[in-house]
Amino acid sequence: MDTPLLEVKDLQIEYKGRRSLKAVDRVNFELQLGDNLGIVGESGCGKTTLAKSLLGLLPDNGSVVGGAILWDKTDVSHYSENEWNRLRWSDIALVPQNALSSFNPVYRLRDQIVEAIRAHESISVDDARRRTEKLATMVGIDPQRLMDFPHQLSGGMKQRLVIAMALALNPRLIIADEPTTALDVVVQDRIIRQIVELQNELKFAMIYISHDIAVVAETCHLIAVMYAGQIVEYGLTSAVLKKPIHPYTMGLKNAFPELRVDKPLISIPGHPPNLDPPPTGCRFASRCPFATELCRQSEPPMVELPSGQKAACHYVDRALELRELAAKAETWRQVPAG
Amino acid sequence: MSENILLSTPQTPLLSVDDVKKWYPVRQSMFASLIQPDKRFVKAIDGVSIQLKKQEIIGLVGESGSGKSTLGELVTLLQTPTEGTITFDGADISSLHGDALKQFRKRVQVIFQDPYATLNQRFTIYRTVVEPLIIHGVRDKGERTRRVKLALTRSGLKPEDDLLNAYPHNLSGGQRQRVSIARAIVLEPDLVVADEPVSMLDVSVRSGILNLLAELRDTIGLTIIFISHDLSTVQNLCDRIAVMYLGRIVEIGPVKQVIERAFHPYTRALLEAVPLVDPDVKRERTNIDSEPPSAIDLPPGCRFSSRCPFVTPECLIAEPELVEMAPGHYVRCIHPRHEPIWY
Amino acid sequence: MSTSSSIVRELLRDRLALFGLVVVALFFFVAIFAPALAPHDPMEVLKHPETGKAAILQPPSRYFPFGTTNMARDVLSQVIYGSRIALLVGFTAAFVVTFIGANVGLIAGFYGGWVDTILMRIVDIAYAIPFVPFAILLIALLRPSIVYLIMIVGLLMWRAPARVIRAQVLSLVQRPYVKAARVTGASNLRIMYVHLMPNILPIVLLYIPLSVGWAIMAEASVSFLGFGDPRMVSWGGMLQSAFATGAMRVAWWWTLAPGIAIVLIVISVYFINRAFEPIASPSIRKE
Repeated sequence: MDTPLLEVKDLQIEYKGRRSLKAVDRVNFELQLGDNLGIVGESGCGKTTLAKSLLGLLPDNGSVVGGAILWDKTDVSHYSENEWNRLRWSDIALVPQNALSSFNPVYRLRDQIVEAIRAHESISVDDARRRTEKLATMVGIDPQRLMDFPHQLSGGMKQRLVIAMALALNPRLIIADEPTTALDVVVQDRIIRQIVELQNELKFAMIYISHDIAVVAETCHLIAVMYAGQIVEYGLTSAVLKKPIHPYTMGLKNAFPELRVDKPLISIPGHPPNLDPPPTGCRFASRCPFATELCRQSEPPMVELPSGQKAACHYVDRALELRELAAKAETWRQVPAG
Repeated sequence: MSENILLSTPQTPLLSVDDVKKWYPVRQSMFASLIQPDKRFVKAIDGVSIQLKKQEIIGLVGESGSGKSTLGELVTLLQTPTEGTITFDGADISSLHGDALKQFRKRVQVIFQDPYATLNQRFTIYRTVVEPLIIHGVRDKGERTRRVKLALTRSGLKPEDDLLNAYPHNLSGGQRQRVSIARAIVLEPDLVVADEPVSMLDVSVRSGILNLLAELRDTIGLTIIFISHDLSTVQNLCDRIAVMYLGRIVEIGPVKQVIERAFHPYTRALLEAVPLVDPDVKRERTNIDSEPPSAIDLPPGCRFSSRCPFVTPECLIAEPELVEMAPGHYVRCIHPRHEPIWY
Repeated sequence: MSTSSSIVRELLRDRLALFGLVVVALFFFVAIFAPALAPHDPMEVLKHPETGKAAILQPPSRYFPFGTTNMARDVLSQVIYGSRIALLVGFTAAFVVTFIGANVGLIAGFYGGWVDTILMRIVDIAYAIPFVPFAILLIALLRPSIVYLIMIVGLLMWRAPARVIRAQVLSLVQRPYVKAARVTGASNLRIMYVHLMPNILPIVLLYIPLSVGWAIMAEASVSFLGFGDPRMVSWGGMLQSAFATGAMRVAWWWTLAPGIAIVLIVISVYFINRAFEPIASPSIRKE
């Protein structure tokens, strides 16, 4: 397969308002069937906006102002609501964060899922019911429970059914937006495993959005780290999380508490920059302990290592040395505040 | 059944929770109460004993519904226990009134999870932090401003006019949480209950807040009850961990001990469910049912038996007592796991 | 951004609300300076300056811009003086409505339990009473007076803000900042009026223009039915006189001016109210 299933090219998304800002700024990546891309970043980094644009769900004041979203070689970035309705769910499906609001409390779950399937495909009620039962079994829910009302199921079970709903029409791409954030750790673990198994079996492509690098480490083989509307590091998850080459990724990793790993937790000083207008130079410079005059003056290009790992940093070649320094909490404390 | 003797520490504790229960009656329809006349209860806290030394940081860990937040509300007198006593600095807190109650209010404070809802969005930062001082009758304006600025500085913020006059929506999540810490410490309390204070914050600022809490323990002598669902957050900050399950402590001990040598199958399941950053390591898991039973109809005997992979008929006879497995490390299980955890 | 400045900004951004504000301001101006603005005393029996006869049912002319009534009184002067009653009733009643409504809602939502149950049953009862028959009955028992009318509007109409504010308070008391205030030792009164009040104020403000509209409509309806204060000239009273004397069919000018005045001020306060809504419930605010 040469042409990718999804190709995001120089994508720029702007929110208009009293002050307009580019929430996503020149983002590039490709996805093949069977790929599994995790997008991590802090709140406000643009990861959810990016996901919404891939589903045609940008709010009214948000729009694609540059670049393209090529789905099967067709640019869908300016699709109308009608065109999106044909694509969304049947080919690109969403697993949202909040399962509670995904179901109508007054109807039985089976009827809701059957209704939804029949709204997109002309199949008989019986066929739709059979498919619903198969889907429930697939995500580990006893089909008997489908006769229940939403409030009779626990949060974890509802989240499984939301996943089942997303799979109902055999989409080629699943976008999961923090699907386990609201759940307890044991339930989260079970659902992550389920998602990985389903993906191995059904071979759809997946974009998994999370603020939790450990969850992404366990679910995705590719990772994109976003900061202030841009992808700052990209590559195989194992490579990026073991040997990050962008200082922000190093910071994220070292700030992340790991059980039984006795390391000093660092905290990245300051907060993400205001994006109207974005700072000149590297957007992470104000929080980066290694920033130089060069970083503040010129925007770093995306540098690709032979391994395919990429980062937007002027000092990719010094990554080895920076990684050692970034593991120390003092390094991060030296960043001038403000 | 009192577990005082078991859990006592040589030093007089600052806080002592003794066999406390908090049951909520279940609302029933008229028809249901006809066929089942005896009242049913949600047993949010069902017999918890715990003692805290001064300047100790204890982590309360468990899933939602374990009762950890309810325990926090009992300790701060947001709720009163159905049974049992809570003693703070030698006095039973449920008997406090008048000046003694006011003194208690001054000495026990709270920090909440949601950095948005935790601050009154119609109050400026100054107004938020000065409010406890006004309530406790600090009349002198200069004195109030001095103490507000001190609390903000101690919380790692710069008490400049820009900040004092800002509203919560002008601040980032981490800054808001620091303001809520400043509000909690402005009265210089002895005990702070921190209910999931970092779980809604970005990873990059979490450790800053955790380090701040550890610092405050040393600088102003805080004792902290740190409530969390996340074991990995607890490990760096706390001295001890208490693992709660459906209203009871099932395992309690020094933090390192519990994480490295958990005896209770439930603690192990929690530990093993935490995802790892290193993608090359494949975790092994204790397979437990992912959903806890309801806190209304508990299984007989051990309350974890319905999810436990090691359950035997004896488990269903009586609820196990806390047993000391190692110094200060207690476990409520008749089949404690001795094999090493996989890692 | 504080509450008050955001409200002002929102009002100025909305053209219709701006129109409403201008109209209400104009009516206030007219009401305050009525003696200076009105060409005649509203109750004076006038003579036609050309014929010298009593100016009965004169159509609009250069002497009587809005015409005259069957008692030879100047319609323009009556409309001008009528604005005093409309605004007095409207704003006083609105104050009573929001004052009672806000406090009942706050107390019911804050204390909950039996306090809430009792207060909300009273609200239910207030909802069950139809306004106009109730007003007529009470006024018939007492005597026609705008003081009673204001009281009646206040006593019935607080039900709406009370219910809405209670619902809001119910969710607000669960907020961590309220719990934090309790833990600090804040008294119930302090939590209610220092911590919660600023948060429900936008909703309280929402009910001011709404109640002004209700009250002016109520006064007009009651006066039209003949239960208005006979000592005062009100717009509703003018319509009633025109109707009762049977002059309505011929003297269109007699009803047109007060009719337009009522519609204009009620529409204006609703326009203002409409602009308040996004402030009170940010969920419908579009950023």
